[in-house]
Amino acid sequence: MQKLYIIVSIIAISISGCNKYLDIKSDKKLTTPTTISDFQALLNDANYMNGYYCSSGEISTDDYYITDADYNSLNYDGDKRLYTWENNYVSRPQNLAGDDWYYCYRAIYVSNSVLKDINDQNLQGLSADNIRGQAYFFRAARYLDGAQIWAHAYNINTASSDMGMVLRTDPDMNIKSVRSSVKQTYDLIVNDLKNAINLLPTTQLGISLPDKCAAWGLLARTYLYMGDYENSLNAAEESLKLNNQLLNFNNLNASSRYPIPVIKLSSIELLHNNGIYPSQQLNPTFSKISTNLYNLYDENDLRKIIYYQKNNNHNSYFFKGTHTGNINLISTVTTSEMYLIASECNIRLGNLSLASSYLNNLLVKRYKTGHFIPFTFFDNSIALGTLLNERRKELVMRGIRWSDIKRLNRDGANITLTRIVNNVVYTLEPNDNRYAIAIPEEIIELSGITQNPR
Amino acid sequence: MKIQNLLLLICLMHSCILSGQKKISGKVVSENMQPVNGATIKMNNNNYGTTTNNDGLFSITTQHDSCVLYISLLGYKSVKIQIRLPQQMPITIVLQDSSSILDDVTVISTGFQKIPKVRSTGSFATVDNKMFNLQVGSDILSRLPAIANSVVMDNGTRQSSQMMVRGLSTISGPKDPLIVLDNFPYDGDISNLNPNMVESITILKDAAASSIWGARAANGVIVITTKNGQYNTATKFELNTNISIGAKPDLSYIRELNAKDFINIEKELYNRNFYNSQLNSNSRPVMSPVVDLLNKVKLGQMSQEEADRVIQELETIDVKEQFNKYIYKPAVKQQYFLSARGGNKRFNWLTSLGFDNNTDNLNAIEKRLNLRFQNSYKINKQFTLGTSLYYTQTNGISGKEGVNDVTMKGSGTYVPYIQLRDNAGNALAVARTWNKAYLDTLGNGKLLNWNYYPLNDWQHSVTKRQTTNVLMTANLNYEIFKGFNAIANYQYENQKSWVNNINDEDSYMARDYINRFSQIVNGNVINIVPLGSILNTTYSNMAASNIRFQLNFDKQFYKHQINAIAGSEMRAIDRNAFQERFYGVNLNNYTTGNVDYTRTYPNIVNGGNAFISNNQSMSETNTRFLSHFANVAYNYNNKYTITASTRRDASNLFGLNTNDQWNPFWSTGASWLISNEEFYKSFFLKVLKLRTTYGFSGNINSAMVAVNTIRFFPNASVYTGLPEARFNNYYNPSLRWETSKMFNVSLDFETQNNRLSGSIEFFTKNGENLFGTAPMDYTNGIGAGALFNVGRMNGKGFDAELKSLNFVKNFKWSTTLNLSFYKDKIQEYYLNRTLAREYISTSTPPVSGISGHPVYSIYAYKWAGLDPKSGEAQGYLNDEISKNYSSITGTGTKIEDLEFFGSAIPTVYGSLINMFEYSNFQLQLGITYKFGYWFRRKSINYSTLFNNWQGHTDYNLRWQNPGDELNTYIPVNTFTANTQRDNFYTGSSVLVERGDHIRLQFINISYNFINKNLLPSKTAQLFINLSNLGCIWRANKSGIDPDFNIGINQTITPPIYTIGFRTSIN
Repeated sequence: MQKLYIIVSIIAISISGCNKYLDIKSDKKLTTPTTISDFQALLNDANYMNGYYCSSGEISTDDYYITDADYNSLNYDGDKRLYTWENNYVSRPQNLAGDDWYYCYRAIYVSNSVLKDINDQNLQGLSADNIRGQAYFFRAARYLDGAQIWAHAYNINTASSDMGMVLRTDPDMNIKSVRSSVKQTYDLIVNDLKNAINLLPTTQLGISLPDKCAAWGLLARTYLYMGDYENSLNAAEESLKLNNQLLNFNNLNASSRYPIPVIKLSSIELLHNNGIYPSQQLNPTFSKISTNLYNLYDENDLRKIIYYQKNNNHNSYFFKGTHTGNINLISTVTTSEMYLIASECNIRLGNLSLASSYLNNLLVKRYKTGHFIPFTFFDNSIALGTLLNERRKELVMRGIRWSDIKRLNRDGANITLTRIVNNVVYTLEPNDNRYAIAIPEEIIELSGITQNPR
Repeated sequence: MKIQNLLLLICLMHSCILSGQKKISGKVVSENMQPVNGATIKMNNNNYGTTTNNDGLFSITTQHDSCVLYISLLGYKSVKIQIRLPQQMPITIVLQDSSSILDDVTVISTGFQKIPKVRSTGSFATVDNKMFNLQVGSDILSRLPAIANSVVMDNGTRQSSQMMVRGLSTISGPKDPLIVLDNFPYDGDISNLNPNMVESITILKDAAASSIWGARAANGVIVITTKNGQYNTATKFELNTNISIGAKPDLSYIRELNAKDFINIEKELYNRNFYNSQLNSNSRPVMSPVVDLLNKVKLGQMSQEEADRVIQELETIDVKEQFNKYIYKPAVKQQYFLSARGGNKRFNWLTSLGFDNNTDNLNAIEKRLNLRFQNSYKINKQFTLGTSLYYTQTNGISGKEGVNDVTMKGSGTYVPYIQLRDNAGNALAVARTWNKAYLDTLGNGKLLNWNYYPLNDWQHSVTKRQTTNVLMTANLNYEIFKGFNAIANYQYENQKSWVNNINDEDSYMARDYINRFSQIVNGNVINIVPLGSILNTTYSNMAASNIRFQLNFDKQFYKHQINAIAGSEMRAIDRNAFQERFYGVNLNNYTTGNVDYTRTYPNIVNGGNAFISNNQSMSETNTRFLSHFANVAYNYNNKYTITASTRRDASNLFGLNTNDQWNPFWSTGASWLISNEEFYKSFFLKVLKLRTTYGFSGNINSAMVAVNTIRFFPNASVYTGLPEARFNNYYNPSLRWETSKMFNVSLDFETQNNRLSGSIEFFTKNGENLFGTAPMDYTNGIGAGALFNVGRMNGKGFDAELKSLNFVKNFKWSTTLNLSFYKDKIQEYYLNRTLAREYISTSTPPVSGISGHPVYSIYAYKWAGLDPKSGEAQGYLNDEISKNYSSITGTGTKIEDLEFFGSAIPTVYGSLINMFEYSNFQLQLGITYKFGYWFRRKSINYSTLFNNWQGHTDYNLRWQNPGDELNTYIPVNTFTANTQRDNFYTGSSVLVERGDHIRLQFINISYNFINKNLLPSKTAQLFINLSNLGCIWRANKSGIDPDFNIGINQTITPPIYTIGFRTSIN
């Protein structure tokens, strides 16, 4: 029996070290996010945070077209339907390709988680503030991006009743989705951006992380879309104070495939780096720049050769003025957009000389040296027409045209979009319900939220 | 025993004296000529008899002129001999080991203990040595479905086949059975194990298995028992060698369009400007040769006549014929195995050496060397020490590019009229990745040759694999007192593997990569990626140690027998891996070049800026398990047995709550040997036994951890230089344990003389709170699906195993039938999926979640025929015929609108083995069958045809003119792509077929040389084996082998013909 005791005690001793034995980390790459560098690593995930902004808006614009043959070759029915502004089923099947909604909320989740966890950890100090600022910025950027697709333009009279985004500010997956109003959506965006401006530093380690300048820039865009020109102007000016550098197109090599120079896939005009979903319709292999747009450019406008190149064997032009050094399109804020916003807001507020100087400062960098005749504005409405024209010419394939059409139609611009595909004419009347694009039917099914009126 | 012998001898001597009787004397030996002690010798049909002594000698007397001796001993096959008297000289009788006899497996190995079958309550299937060796090959597991009860390969729910024991026990968890080698789970690569070292295989099927082996055993356990040395046996050598020839795969099974049809489609698409944008694109995507030609004509670079002539030539090309002629060759597999074993009273040993040299159809070579040493030593009366060492080294070299490797757009994507070589035998270039016409104009000949030659690129892109695996075990058995043992078992396993992918400077990969990043400045080429080879190397290391302390108690008191074990074990598995890429490698002196990963460079073809791929990573994982277990069996009077076992497992799953750390398992069972009862009088059924088990197991999932976890990326962000991470698990407080309850009841029987024996088992499995992916509102930002406790499932079935000896005279014929029924169904699914599309996937069937239907079911969109006017496919939307494919495949179709066919995994399956023996000849035939299930066959998908060049011969039967809809269901070619339309058609009910089929798995013919003068060999066997002989019957009329249906360019595993020789030498 003594022998038995010995054996049992040997076993007991060897097993008793087991708690430590089980404490070893199962995978070196796994961790629970608790430290500043963990949170920064999450926000550093450029694919989630900076990639896959919505492309549905740009696809719906009249800046480009695709040929009937290419339309017929589009694999996804949703891609075709989106192109012709159908009422419903305009998104790709989420299980096959992922849709804009999915990518939008994926980044919002990370922002929400970081904001919650960093508060739970009670982390303070400059670097914690930087993280918070980034998360506020990323969240605001996605809500603003999504609101352009699934909500109507901000209309001060109806904003409280128009349907906006599903506003999630808590990472808890069990909270039910409910649609907010357009006003609530923009209030959250403005609030987040104000928080971001207070928290963010003026420089970051890389352009994938937003800084104070980018936050001011995005706020300027937000107020512009809301029609709050005073605040928009202020924000644009603040942004330009921090960064106003423009590329001089005279120094670029127009014959290059991607003439706009980049460092780490970003031009110096970007306030922050992002990318939109690489949709087939927008791929320069297929998308042809609309003749109307191309014809807007002056002979001496360098953008005519920097932005565009004639297709081989086809009487059309493709877009090559990306700010990423490759095929990828962006929708982020840039210095040139800030000049245009500052100019537009000044026109709207009646400061015509200030407005012209902002516009001239930009355009002088876009024209052949010595060929640019600076604008002098006398008439408000002519000035606005000129400015909007210049805005369209500058901000091509930036995910901005769609928002512009919406807000301009809201203000009575009466822009009607038309496409002819396989001999069928499709039109999109001003302020049509379809300007708030159908939310993926799957999401309606899965969440029970209300579809945009069809 | 000795007293008995003495008494018998006295009796016999007594009778001798009474009547001057004739004496028979002789010797009983085992196969290796060792004397056999204690064998019973009976004469004629009476009960008089004797037993052999220590030297195997016996003598017996009779008054007849001739008599029949019956010699028997437990563990040996009984022998019957006719003898004429008087005897000229003493006879020698050789007893055959019963382990080579099908129906005499008397001991079951669970990996923890060996249980006599007669006292077991659990459900086990056993495969003995003879059965196991009916098939050849270098792999162990693939032999099982044809010979083992309740094992089936599921080829219908995923592309690589999935071995299943008694169907599913979990929805989302791992579905592989646990593989145990002798005492411990085997963590290395299963292909390291040489089949020649296998003595027998036990498959543990019921709850008793998981209560012994824990969480990983929910899908059944396969215990591989290796051959060992035996005490008191003379040294014996065994040699086994064989050579196999594997036929070339039948490429006609791939239903790709022929060149002419394909070219006609391309011509029409070209005329419709389908390729215009791509041809003119500055991204320069790859174009097919015909489109290139047509474009050259359009651009005036080629005359119409010339193009027509070339196209006419291309139309005659059959790429499959080229593959068949120039790429595929018969596979050759050689196997050599030599072993020696023996033992004296205190020491036994075994040593074996195996070498396999396999060259496959594509000339990929794999060489495997196995070396094994095993010994046991009785140190004294109390201590026994056993050690073993198993060393494996595998060297592999990649082969040619086959139908799935040749690349124009993506792997396995090419047009059906590419030419691999010219008549003179020179390799021909095929366009790849980029527009070939454009590449030809680039760089004025200063760039590296940018051509891709599928015929010989494999000689320049070579992947070499080297794996070494060392498995060491030690076990010490200490007998504290009789029937009470303490055992310590230790196993250490280390596997290192090194994969070297060498793309030499002539490989397409290296030339393409260098060219892409080249810049031409003032007419000079600057190589950003240095010239030379590109090397990818991956090194991985796995170390697993297991230690187990166990107390065994085995005692008989009068009619009571108790057998109990209890103990604890620890398992630690550490894995780490490093991966790196080298550029500009000079293979002669192993120097490397430098590249800058931190900046971008423009691509010379499309101008896009990109980083040079860094391709380096490192990882380390550490897994720890700690378990306690106990198991007790009590038997009364060799009639009644009750068993109980329990186990708890803990692991170091990251972030788990402590109260979730321990997985509980328990099972209990009972058996009743009815035929041992006094009242049991049946003459027909000699043995009749009833047994049953019931058990519970619980399982957690890594998603159950109580924290959100994030995973770091191997490389830092290119923008900030800081690490990147992403959420990989989202804390969900609502998750609960997944539990499974399993019940098993069986009847074992055996008739007089063993003519018919077998067992019939019935089992049920009840899974609750099963983990599964449920679709969810992805507004929450964590994805379109997440893990939840999604439902309950119920599985039930029968396993029958019948063995019959049909003829036992000179001509012997025996049959083994394995028959299993298995049905599972979802009983309740907590989350209703409303999207019908979720139930239809045209690649592999997804898990369904409809109450009363099998877990994997085949559903299809209802088919409304072809539109008589346009020939387009039609489905239903709100009960009306519709062509709104987006809605049909989107939210428009509800689950109840789908047509339900049935299970996607076989519900009736098994094998039938017939063995014939006449004189020295043996013939064995093995058949497997699967019934009661469905699969979705492939057909034409126009979107993939136009954009990915994957057609289907169904195209030839398509609707072309009104009226065709009466004879065909294959939609018209509208020359427009539409994924949703194609998804509707490929997911529709017209393409669902019955999967039922019968397959001839193997034929084995052997001849035994039993010439005793044949020295030094004692027994020798020459055999011929044919395997993978294909379906002999199938329910579908489309010529599809349902086991080879999923995946692109799928072919049927071709037949293998083997000739081999086995011998043993003393």
